[in-house]
Amino acid sequence: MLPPSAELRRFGLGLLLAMPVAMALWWFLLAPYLMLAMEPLVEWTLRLLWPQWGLGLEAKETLWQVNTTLPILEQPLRSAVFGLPWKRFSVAFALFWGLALATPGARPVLRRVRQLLLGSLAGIAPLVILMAVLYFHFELAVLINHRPYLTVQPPPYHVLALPYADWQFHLIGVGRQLALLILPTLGPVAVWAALNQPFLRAVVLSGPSAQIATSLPARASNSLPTTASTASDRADGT
Amino acid sequence: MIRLRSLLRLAVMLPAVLVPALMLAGCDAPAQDLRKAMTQIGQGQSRAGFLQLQNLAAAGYPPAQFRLGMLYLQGQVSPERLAKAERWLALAAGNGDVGARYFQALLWLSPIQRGGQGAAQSAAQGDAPGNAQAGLAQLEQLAAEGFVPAHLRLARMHEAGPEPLRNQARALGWYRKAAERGNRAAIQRLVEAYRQGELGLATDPEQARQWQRRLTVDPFGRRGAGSSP
Repeated sequence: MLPPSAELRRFGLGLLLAMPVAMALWWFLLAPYLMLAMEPLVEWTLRLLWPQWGLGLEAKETLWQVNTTLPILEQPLRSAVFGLPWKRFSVAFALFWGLALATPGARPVLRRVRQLLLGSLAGIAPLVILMAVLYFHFELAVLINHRPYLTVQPPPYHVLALPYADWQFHLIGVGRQLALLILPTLGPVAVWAALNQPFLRAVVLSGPSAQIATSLPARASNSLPTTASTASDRADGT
Repeated sequence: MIRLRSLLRLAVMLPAVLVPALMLAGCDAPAQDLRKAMTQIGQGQSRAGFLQLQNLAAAGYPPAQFRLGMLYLQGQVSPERLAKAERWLALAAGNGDVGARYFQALLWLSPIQRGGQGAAQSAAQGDAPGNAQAGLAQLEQLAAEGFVPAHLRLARMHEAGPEPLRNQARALGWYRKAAERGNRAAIQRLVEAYRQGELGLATDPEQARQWQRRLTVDPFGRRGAGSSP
């Protein structure tokens, strides 16, 4: 096991190499397939949450188009349609892959692949569904309440539905920020951290203590052996 | 320690719970059928769409009853079609459909618009023929529930409707309520009213400027916010 600072350097270098590869893979190759794979899951979840609007999802280039039965005031025989920017959500996959591939350790390929699959299926996929749900709810609320919120302006037409209460509307606005700003970036980090706890404990969390311990005089460092030894023991355990 | 086994267990358990839930979600058949019927009508397959819509409405699905009522209401209005429209809208409104309640109110109020002063006088006094009084009450009920198009409709009716219904103070009140909910048309009307001294208001350029600011400043303080993605 390398010292924590060396492990960190390896991790940083790994990120520099793995993240562009993961991003390129996602952008140029895998994004459309991810979109197809996630489509039924997102559609079913939206239907489960808003059964009254007869929601149906359709892939349209860079958007998931959500068709509804929400009638439009000006033309009651027509219904409202929404667009979900699925690429903004699915970037979480690429970030997670980059982090997982960059994590150093003498792990066999099979174990790494298993972590990639497990993190993508059990961690990132539910996150993407959550982001789509939060974003859709916000779009729906802006349309139903027909008032501008954050940077979003409602379309010129009204829909025939009772508005959300003000506090609900603001809460849904927070959900939109969560879906667009926080979850796509912090979500993959959280999933990666959950799957790489030994690395985190050994290298990132105990890194500074270990460095302090090595820089202290012998007598003082004797009082801090547990942190460093525990860290390296745990790291070896991986 | 990494708990791969428990995560794997979770990965197996999640679909076991989610799949039945998702399948249940797929069972919102009337809403899905309505969407398909409306798509068919939109694509010109009117007969198939209409039959599907009729089946759904007959089965008691309020959104389908509303759409069917609106189909009868649109186009050339004959007494027979109007009766059918009223019937379907009444059924849907009885089941709480917002659109049906709104258009039923407008339908009830249409004698006032057409009949002029006599009908409006009756509506204002509460003994209106053709359910005009009920229409007004229904519109007010929708407005009280926060439905902004009802605010606007009431405001315009009280501002420029038939004489007995005209009431500048009420019109101003409804415009204000709609404007406070961010409705641009209502805000524009208030700006104009403050500039010109209308709706019983004294000319007040400062108030006009304040409302105007609501139109041109977005929540981040940038001027002239337009539509965004």
